[in-house]
Amino acid sequence: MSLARIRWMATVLGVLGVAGVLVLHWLVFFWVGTERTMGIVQRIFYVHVPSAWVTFLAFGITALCGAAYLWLRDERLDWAAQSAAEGGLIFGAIMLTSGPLWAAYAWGTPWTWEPRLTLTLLMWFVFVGYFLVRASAEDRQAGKRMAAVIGVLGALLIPLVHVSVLWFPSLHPQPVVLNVEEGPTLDGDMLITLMTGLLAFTLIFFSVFCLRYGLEHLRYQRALALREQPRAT
Amino acid sequence: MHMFRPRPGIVLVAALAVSLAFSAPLIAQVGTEVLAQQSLRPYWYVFIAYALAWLLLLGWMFSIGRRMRGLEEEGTGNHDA
Repeated sequence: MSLARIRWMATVLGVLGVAGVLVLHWLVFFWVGTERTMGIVQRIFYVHVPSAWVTFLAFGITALCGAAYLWLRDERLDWAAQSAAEGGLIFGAIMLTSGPLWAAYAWGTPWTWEPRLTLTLLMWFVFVGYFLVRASAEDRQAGKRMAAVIGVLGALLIPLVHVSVLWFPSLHPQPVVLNVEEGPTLDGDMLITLMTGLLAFTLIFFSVFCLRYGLEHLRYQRALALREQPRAT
Repeated sequence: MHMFRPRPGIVLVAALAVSLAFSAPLIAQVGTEVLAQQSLRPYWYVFIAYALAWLLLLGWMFSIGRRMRGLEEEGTGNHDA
């Protein structure tokens, strides 16, 4: 895929994502009802849950592309894995800052070392390690392979993070959408707002993911050009 | 290719202003009586959560843009040389 096409895709997804975000803001601040027990602070939920979803999606893509890279050794898979991991770290940072802000009000403390919070933080640090390994490896190819393994292992934490609230019930609220027994337990307006948030954040992620992938594409082109320069002169 | 290059400072201030503007209707929605009983603390939490989210996303986008521009300029420099 050419760089121009990647940029075009990023622009289209970005425009759709920004439109989604504007609709989300309108829904969150003008339309959706205020939750009775938690009040206004519950509106953090509409940025916290979509960022958590995108974090899992991004780390999942990193693992899939990393596993495929280990098998096929196609550089484009490594670019995709790296781009998704960077997105996962950013959206993970949003999740890990918005959650404690809500908790500071709802629980009276921003952080407790309960299973879901601890596992999520651990997963985020595993993906920090993904970049540290890449940056510190003397052999670049070996670094890429080690990072791919870390990506695959790190993504194993995703299902564990999800089921941690079911297996070890603690302070963190139970799932309100992916509830196997009862189905979604949210009010209709809250569910619509949440779904809009999920869609908007996913579009924004894929838009910036394309840009980041384009950056790796450009790096590759520059490296190729530099390699061919001495031959040309 | 001529790229749109917004100034990071202006965009960040604009993002904060939009977040603040969007937070204002919340106060109106709850009503003054309830507001009198509550502190403004939850409003600040909501504002900070949304502002941080957009700051992190914008920061990521600017970082990619900066790295891309650096590569493009480097490439042009090499080409000129």
